[in-house]
Amino acid sequence: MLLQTWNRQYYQFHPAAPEHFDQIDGLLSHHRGWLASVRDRTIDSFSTSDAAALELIFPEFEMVLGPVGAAKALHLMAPRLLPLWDRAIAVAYGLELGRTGTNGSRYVRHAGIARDQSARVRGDAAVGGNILKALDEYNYCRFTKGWM
Amino acid sequence: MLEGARRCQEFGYNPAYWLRMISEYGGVGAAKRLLRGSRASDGFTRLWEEGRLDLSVELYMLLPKYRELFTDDERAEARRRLELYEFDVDRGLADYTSPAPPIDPDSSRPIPSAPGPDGPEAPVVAAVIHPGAPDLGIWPTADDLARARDLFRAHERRDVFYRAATYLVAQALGGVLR
Repeated sequence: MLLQTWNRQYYQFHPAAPEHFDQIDGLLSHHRGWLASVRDRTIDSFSTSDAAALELIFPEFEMVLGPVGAAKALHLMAPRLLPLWDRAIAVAYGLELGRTGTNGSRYVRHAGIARDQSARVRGDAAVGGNILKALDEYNYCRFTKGWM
Repeated sequence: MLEGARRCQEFGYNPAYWLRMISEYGGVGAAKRLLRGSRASDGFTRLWEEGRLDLSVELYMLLPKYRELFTDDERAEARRRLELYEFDVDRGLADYTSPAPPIDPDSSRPIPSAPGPDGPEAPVVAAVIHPGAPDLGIWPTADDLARARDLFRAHERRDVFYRAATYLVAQALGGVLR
């Protein structure tokens, strides 16, 4: 229900049938090992092997939840390692989203950018909390809403 | 895997069935399904005929960077199939070169590569942001982040959903992922 609310733009056009939630359960179960291994990691440790795994895993989530919802779901699983985005944010970073199921490498690059952004401001300490959440708020205000 | 499929087209083979499987099940799911068959797939046989088993999904499954995505049994089966067709697996794995070094957006110098097998891995850094590129707001300062936080909290009720979701997931995962 939380994902339906938080990801409401996706569900507006993709009404969720019971099998949709089975698919989400299946994804979480299928990738349980990897998700557990990254659950407590932070963005400053994002590495080449993370990139390789994420490039394959992200499209699987994307096929079920869309590219924005996939990032939200993955972020909830590893909130300090996997960043959030939306279409406007992706465009601002030169990562305009392609067809659903093809955005794994773009998301990996987005994570790489977030890693560098975090390093520049010295990570969580700069915001007194999760730097990825702070970066998402900045991106949303600046690129999605144009408030800044 | 998609890169492998693209390179197949260089010698006139369009792995359409494989691409459909990736589209339907994702790369990992498609690879696992392919392996469940009792015999090598038609695509595998075609690659063998072309002498290009280095592009097979079975070899991709054995790459160290994908190790955590497949079980020991699955990787053993992938290796068995390759060896059955007299493919030198160890040499094939060794021939895979590392990707180009990432670029440090602060300068034109490449980031030093990983110090060794026991050291930390080389970081992934955005290749889309080039040194000298104009600042289009993609490098926020701590002040920018603080200002955004104030704006966000003033305008966005959805922050409540975020906090609720992170809390509930943390509670739920306490028993699931550990």
